[in-house]
Order: sequence, then structure tokens, then C-alpha cells
Amino acid sequence: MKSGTLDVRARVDVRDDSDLVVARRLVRQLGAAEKLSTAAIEALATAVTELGRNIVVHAGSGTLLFGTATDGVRRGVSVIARDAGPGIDDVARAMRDGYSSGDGLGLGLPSARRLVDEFEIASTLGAGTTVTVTKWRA
Amino acid sequence: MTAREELDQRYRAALERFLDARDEPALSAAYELGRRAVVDGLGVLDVATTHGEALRNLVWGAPAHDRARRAVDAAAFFQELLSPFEMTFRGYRQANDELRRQQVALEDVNRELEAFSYSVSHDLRAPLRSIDAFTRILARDHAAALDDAGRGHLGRVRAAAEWMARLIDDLLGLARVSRADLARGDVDLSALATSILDRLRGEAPGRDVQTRVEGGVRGRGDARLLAVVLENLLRNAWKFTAKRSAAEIAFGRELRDGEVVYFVRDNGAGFDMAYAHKLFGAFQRLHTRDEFDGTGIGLATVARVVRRHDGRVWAEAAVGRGATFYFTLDRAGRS
Repeated sequence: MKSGTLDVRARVDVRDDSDLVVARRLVRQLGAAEKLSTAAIEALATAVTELGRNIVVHAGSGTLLFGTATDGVRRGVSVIARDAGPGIDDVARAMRDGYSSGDGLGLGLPSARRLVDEFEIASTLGAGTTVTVTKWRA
Repeated sequence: MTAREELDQRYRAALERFLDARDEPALSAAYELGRRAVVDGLGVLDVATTHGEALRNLVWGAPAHDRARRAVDAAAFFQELLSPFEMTFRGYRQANDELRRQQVALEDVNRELEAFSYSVSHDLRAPLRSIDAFTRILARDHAAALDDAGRGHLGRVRAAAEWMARLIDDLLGLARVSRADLARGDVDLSALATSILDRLRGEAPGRDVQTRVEGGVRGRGDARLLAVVLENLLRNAWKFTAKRSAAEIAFGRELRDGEVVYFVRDNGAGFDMAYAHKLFGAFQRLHTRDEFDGTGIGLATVARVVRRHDGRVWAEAAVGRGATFYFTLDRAGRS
């Protein structure tokens, strides 16, 4: 979000795939409490899964923070994925790269972006990556 | 076990667990199965069939009072499995839009470049005509005022200007075959080849060349542009057999994997196949001008015409043992 507030409600430390299950459950509960549509909750759960996988695969461990968000007009659910991994050299390229490298299927970070309303990424080589996604209540 | 059989088995087990427990780990399993199916290259219809099979056992085989609840839960489970497909689908659509935009931009740039090279070539002609005219006057009216070295230099200037004029003509020819509208029709390639060879023979009456043109070879394309192709290929064959005592040139067609392939074959100087990739680029020459004259634009022109006919062009050769140039006229070879 360019501006707005985020109220963090829950946190999950991510080390392996089993933590993703916990994260998915949390985001569904939060989505339901914030009255997001079923499709929106599903998209958010999918995005969280990909963000979580990204942490497990590239950083080894990290944190997912869950919260409610508002930009003054809309309300929704935000998820912050944070890791202290190797970081991304060229963020713009990494966001395109689902097609030019890797599995070539458009999974991973680029796919997470397509599933949410807001997507922000900040990364520093050697210091880690932080991704913030938000899904608004329609 | 194939990817599909493995999916069948795992999906059924995961769905069964979900229908019993209705919890997040089971739902996560559906997501993972879907993701795996995407990576394994399975399609939506594959997973839909898998889902249908599992339903038959786990829903319709269940006690009547529990079927409705199971059907609703199974739908949620299936939706979860489909999420990764949805995700990649969105990605492909986005990537496709991006590619289309890039293609349009690329075509624009290409058109601009073609127009640019055409006008540059065209504009170079005027100053060149001046150089040609004034050096001619210099040679004719002022030769006596120059010493031998001066006349020698003047001769070189005139030769260079002539060479440049040829380069420009060839470049304009190349630009023209790119810009011309295609008027496709039925073309008698045998007749074209025969008349070109007759003309070449007329230009060099001293040469003894055995030519063989297969009769009745026809192709679908633009008659004027196909004449440019045959002219270039036959003229090349004519040129590169100049040092053969028993020169042979043949034009014909053959079937390769059910595709009609036209060829021009000679027993001339040939070339090293290691350089075959350079053949069709503009200004690329495999021989020095002392050996064989040429601007290096002819084959680039051939390639462009063939490409505009949705065909392919390639060559097979060996040094000292001749060369064969092949081309097709549309991708399916229905010409």
C-alpha cells in the first residue's frame, strides 16, 4: 500500500511446508472475518502459499505477518512475507522471470502478484526480501 | 507409474482424507497436487477426469445421507486443486499480451529500418552520380594533365564508384523485395529457369555449361519475386562453376518427408559447411572478390523472398565439390 494502515493480528514463522498449512488456515480465518469473498480468500490463500514457498525455497526461513488493512476507503487483508535470505539481485527481472527461467510456468512470486490487489516488494542483496500483498474487500 | 496415474492415486487418498477431516492440511495437499500437475504438464481436463473418478467412489459410493455434504466439500477441494492452474493461466495470458505488444513494436521498428535503408540507398545515388560524371569528364578531358600515378588513382576512384553503384542497386533490390506486395499465383518455374539460363548463356557465349531443367515444375507464389530467387541462385551457380572445365547446373524439385523442395545444383567451387550459417546474411561473402565477384546481397535477397512466401531456404555443399541450394514455398509444402 502506498498509504494506509496495517494492523498486524498474527504471525507465523516459516521453516517448512507444514508451516504453510498454518499460514493458509490463518489467512482464510482472517479473510472470512473481514468478509472477503470466497474467491478472494482462495486467491489470497494461494498467494500466501507461493510467498511461503518462496521463503522456504530461497531463504530457508522467514516470517509471515497477517493483518487487516485500510487505505481510508477500502478494508482488506494484508500479508507481509519477510526473510533474511540472499535477497534478489534484480527485482524487476525476478518478477518477469517466471517465464524466462526457473520452471517457466509462471509460478512463484510473479504469480502471487497476479492474485492480489496490491503487491510491493523490497529486496537487498545479502539482507533479505520483504513482500507485502493486500486483497481488498470487493 | 505415469504422472497421471500417480495423480489419480494421490488425489483419491487426499480427497478421502479431506472428506473425513475437512482440515487445512488436506486442503494444502490439494494445492500441492495441483501445483505438481502443472509442473508435470498435466492439463485441466486430466485433473477434471481424476476428480470425476474420485467422486464416483468417495461421494456416490457413500451412504445417501452423507452424499450432499461430501459433494459440497469435494467441490471446495477441487477448487483448491485448480488454483495453481488458474495462477499459471493468468500468467500465460499476461505473458501473451506482453509478447503481442512486443511483436507489434518489433514490426514497427523493422518497417522503419527497411524504409530507412531504402531511403539511404536511394539518396546515396545522387552524389554517386556526380562522382561518376565528374571522374568520367576528368578521365576523358583532363587525363593529359595527370601523370601515370594520377591516372591510376583516378581509375581506382572510378572502379570504387562503380562498385558502390552495384552495392546500392543490390540493396535497393533487397529493400524492394521486402516492400513489394505479394501477388500469389501459379508460376511455371521450369520455364523461368530455362529463360534465365538462356540469358546467362547469351552473356557468356564462350562458356560450356551443361544445364538440366526438370520439366513441369510449378510453384505457388509471386512470379516476379520467384524470378528474383531463381535469377540469383542460377547466376550464383553460373558464377561459381566458372573455373570448371565440365560445368553442370541443374534445376528441379524433389520430395523430402512429403514436402516439395526446389533445388538449384552445381558442381562448382562449393563452400565449407562450417560457414553455411553466414550464407544468407547481407554483405556476407564466403569467397574473396578476386576469386568470385559479387556484393554478398544476392542470397540475402533470396532468403527474404522465400521467407515472405513462408518457405525455408538452405544449402548443402562441400569445398570443390559444388553446392545445392534448396527452398520451399510454404510451410506445409502444398505449393
